[in-house]
Amino acid sequence: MTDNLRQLIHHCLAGDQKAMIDLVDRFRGQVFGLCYRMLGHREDAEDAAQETFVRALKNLRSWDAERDFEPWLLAIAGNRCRTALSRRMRRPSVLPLLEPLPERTPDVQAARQLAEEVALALSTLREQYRQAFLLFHQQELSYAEIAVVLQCPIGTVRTWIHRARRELIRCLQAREVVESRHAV
Amino acid sequence: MQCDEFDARLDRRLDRHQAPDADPLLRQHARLCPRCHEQLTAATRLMMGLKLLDTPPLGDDFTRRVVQQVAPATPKRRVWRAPLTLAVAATLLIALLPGTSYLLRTGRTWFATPPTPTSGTGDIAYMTSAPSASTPATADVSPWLHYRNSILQLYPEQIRTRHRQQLSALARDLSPIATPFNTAMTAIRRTIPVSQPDDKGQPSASTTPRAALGATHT
Ligand SMILES: [Zn+2]
Repeated sequence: MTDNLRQLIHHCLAGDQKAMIDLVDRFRGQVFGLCYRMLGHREDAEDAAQETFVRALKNLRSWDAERDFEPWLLAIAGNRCRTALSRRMRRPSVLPLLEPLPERTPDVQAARQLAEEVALALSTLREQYRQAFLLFHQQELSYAEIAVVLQCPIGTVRTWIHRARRELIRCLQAREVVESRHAV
Repeated sequence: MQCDEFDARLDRRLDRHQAPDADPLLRQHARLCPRCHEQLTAATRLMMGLKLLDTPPLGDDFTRRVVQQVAPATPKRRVWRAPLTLAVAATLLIALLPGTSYLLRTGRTWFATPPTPTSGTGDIAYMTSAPSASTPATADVSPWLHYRNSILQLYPEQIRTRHRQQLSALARDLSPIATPFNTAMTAIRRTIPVSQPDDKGQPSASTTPRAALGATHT
């Protein structure tokens, strides 16, 4: 962790609002990205991201300065997403997994279609697999960091990520996303 | 290369965030094996699709909303509460000190039964303890007691009577809490080494009255 970030957190602890703004701005994309991929719904993701930062700032004293800040923050985000998902399961209405997309040119549309397929495949994963997979492949956290986030052994993280990949590949194959013209 | 070796190698590449189709050995096996060919293609598409995943932009006021929710709980604002509380406590203490000091020394109470207009009994102890001829000499009483006595001596009788009436009405209103208050005062009194007057109304030699500390004893 950089000294710059450590100093920023130190200022936040002292109640410096400017430092709080800087801290949120620094991680908002990352946190919202994870929440959005976990929840597949913009408003829910924004709420979860907001709750994440509010909790993080209010409980900043409980963060262990010896450890990295990012996994700690993303762990809170993961918990907020889990809460949002369980709330959603109790809610009768079905929420869209993908936002409506504007029409684009053929190339852009093909890329968009692939992204949609991957997003759809992701949504079929078990929650833990999805989170582990996203933390590794999208947030580029290490296995050890993900183990901190998910509070489980590194071996379990590895297993979840590998299983997630296999399931995603199977899903893409089943939906015939893998066409012969894309063959290597 | 066998298919299980292919799978392990593919996993290793993906674990290192390397493009799966850039490995010549994997490509070589995939050319000969339809099953692994599909695996490699799907893995490549998956990683490509992940990079293409869009995240909608966050609302402009996102950060402001977060900080707004957190700001009231920051220590900055709490800092001002402690001095304020201390100031209020100090003011109350100063306001109550003369009366409380006297009560602690004499064993009298703030509240008593409401007075009858003519008898003058059961009045507020603080106000009715008019100085008498039996009051000990100045050197034998505490500065507070001396101060109280001199004030009462200067007080015109009419003013004393009017204040007595006002305070009696107050005592009536406060009488529901008189018992617990007196109990508390008694308990506090027991914890303080106040001298007990002997038969002649003189402070005993065994303890030094707190309020008399600093007073000249002969
Ligand atoms: Zn094979």
